[in-house]
Amino acid sequence: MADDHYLVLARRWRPQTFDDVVGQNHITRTLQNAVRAGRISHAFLFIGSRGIGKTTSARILAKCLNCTSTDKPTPEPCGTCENCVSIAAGSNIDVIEIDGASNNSVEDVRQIRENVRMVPSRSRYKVYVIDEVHQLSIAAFNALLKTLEEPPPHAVFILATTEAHKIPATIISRCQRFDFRRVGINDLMALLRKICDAEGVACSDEALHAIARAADGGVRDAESILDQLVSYCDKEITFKDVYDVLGLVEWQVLHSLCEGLRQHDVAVLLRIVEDVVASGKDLAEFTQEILRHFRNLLVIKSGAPEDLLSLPETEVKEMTRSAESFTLTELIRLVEQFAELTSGLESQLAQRTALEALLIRLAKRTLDVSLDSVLEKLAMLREGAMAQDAPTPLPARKRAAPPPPEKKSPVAPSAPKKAKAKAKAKARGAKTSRTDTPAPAAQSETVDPSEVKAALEDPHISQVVDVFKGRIVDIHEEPEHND
Amino acid sequence: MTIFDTIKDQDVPLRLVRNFIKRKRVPNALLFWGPSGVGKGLTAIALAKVLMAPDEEGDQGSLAARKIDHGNHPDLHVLSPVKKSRIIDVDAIDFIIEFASLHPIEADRRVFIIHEADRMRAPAQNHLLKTLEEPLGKSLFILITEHPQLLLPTIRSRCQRVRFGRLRAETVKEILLRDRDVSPGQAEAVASVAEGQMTRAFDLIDTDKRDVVLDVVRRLSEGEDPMAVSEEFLKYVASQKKHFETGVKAAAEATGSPELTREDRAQLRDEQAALVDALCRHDIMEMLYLMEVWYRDVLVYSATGNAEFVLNKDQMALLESAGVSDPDAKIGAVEKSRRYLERFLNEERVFRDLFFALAN
Repeated sequence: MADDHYLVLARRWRPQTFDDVVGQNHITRTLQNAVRAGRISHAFLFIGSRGIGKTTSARILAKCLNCTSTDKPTPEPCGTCENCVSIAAGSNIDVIEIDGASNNSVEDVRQIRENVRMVPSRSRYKVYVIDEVHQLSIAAFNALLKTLEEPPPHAVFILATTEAHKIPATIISRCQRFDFRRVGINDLMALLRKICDAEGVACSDEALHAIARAADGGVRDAESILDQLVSYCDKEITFKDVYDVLGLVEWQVLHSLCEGLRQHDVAVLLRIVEDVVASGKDLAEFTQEILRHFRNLLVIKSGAPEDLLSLPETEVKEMTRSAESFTLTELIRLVEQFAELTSGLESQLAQRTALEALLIRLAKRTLDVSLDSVLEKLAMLREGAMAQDAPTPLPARKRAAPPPPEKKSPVAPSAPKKAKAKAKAKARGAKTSRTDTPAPAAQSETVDPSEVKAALEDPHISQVVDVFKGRIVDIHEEPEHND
Repeated sequence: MTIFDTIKDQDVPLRLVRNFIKRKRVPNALLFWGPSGVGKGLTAIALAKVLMAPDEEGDQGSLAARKIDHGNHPDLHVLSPVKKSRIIDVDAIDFIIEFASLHPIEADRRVFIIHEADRMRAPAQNHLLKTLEEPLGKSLFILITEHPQLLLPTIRSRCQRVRFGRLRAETVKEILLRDRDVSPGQAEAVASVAEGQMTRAFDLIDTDKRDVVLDVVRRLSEGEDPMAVSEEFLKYVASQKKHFETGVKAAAEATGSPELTREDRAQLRDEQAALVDALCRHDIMEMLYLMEVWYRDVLVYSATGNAEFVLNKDQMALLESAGVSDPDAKIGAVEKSRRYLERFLNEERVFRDLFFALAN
């Protein structure tokens, strides 16, 4: 049926010159200049995350070195000479691409060492590209050391890997190291737009943005998602198609979730979860998105520049409005709590239960326990107490926490007595004497038990007390008690 | 009716797969991911059939399709985790990589299906990388997994990722009513408890897990001694284990060849024991899942008072009568037991502790 075997976009669009490599200017320029000046190192180490051009750059560099259109290495390989064509096809006899994962033993490296001595048969250089080099065994790395440091003049080694920390320092110090960067959203969008135009695919900007965002800095990821969408869609790739295929949740849903949290409306929250489940979306991804959403709100709230968000403008506007309804402390706590949830969610028995339980917990608790608001209320209370000029229940309740200064003076005379007897227990003496003293008469006289009770029921008091226990405790109270 | 119509509720994956074929855009690497029991394996096999038995999307009787069904098509390679450790090792991957460079024999491409791809150890995944991106011959790799995040990012980025969602509760109910002898009420309750996973729904109907768990939570909420409940529960677990043991042995005897050396027999015994262990473990985890869902219902019902959000829909009477305090903490207790059991702590102790925590 499929006579002509389909070649995926990522392979069809593999860059053939340095100018086509996206988002790695710092590397392509260096390499081109090195080739132009004839200062070619004999060992390169390409490091970077998945799908951003390591293998591609290695192949292009091989072409630069061996292109026969000029009589010396050129920064712009022609792409048409025999060498260029065969390197692109992977069949050049002097460019040896080795899969480091499958050829990782000392034996394999010894073979390289044997062969590297032979002069290239048709080209200027013999280029060894060792991909996934982190998989070489320690012994294999060591066997490579001498060759890597002083190879014959016709040999060039290019090592490529995603995991720099697995490469021995002795190898790294013998190579010119190049760190590939993740590609920014704008570069990715420009590339995707170019591919779309060339392939004759219509695609909205919004959709491209969503694809670029989902690719998370990987060019191959972006191309692979685009490839999939081209297969999926009939005429035009729309925003909705991207969301359907990737299983993302529209940001409006996240806003209604925020609204539900603010209104303490459990039913709304549960309904949102129900809808997400019913539409067949993945709850782990959904939780990730909630986390990202709160992170974005936090970024806005902290007044950081908007380009940190990398969001479309309409969304930023809506977010700014939403951020105003939360305090900084609330957002930090929300981010913390959802981060904790996502970290263990994959192995949970029932992801739905875990998410719902957290949402219910959040909705039932008053979110408004920021330090600022508590301090504000504290100040208010003090003013109130001064105006009344009567013993407020506050000191009575606080007895358990820091002892009032008056309490200390009656205790002081007893302390030296004990210190005389036992110098060792000086520190402890003060402590025990405090507990020894029964509630000072002067204090307890004024406190009426009913007053204490009333004080405890006052939300302001209980909030203050909780603050003085040294931490902000979750305060369970009805929302209408709030001012 | 075409072969893909037997797969329900997976509109996006099916549309993708159909278009791959129609537009001749079949990529060389696919990653099917999503919860278990929603049709990933079925779709992979269906895709293989359509690719290998061309122009016969509906004809399941063709020779190639029959060969695929019997697992002896020369161009279809299916890989699953093996042995006690349930690992796909480097040798198994190297074996199929060899095949990937060979010309297909009967069909016009080779198809490789790797079940539970996340069980490939890191070296195995690394071996696969180059072949996955640029296979020498014509081939299609389909990786199937529940946990894509356990795969190397370099593997994930080389595949087109196809997401399979959970089935709708109505679909699960329909299939249950079609394939099993159940009442509509029971089917509905099981469908919503199963969270859109067909294998789980069948399991809940075919075994008495759900009754056992509901009995446990009822008795605990009525204030019965957790010690007694846990002892009875552990007895049930032990009886299930016996049941699995006899089942596995019978299955082995039915297919086993008589000519075995002593080492072979020892290895066979090991593998059988591992299989029984895995079955028991799965059973226990499922029961913990049911407990968690129960306390989730209690929590949700007490927070909203709305029966619509409840999953155990046939147990409303029990739900209203059960006075359970702090269901949130109980969900946490169940989750904690899950973690303990995953670390192979003593089952008896874990369950006794759990039941004390669940008692009011």
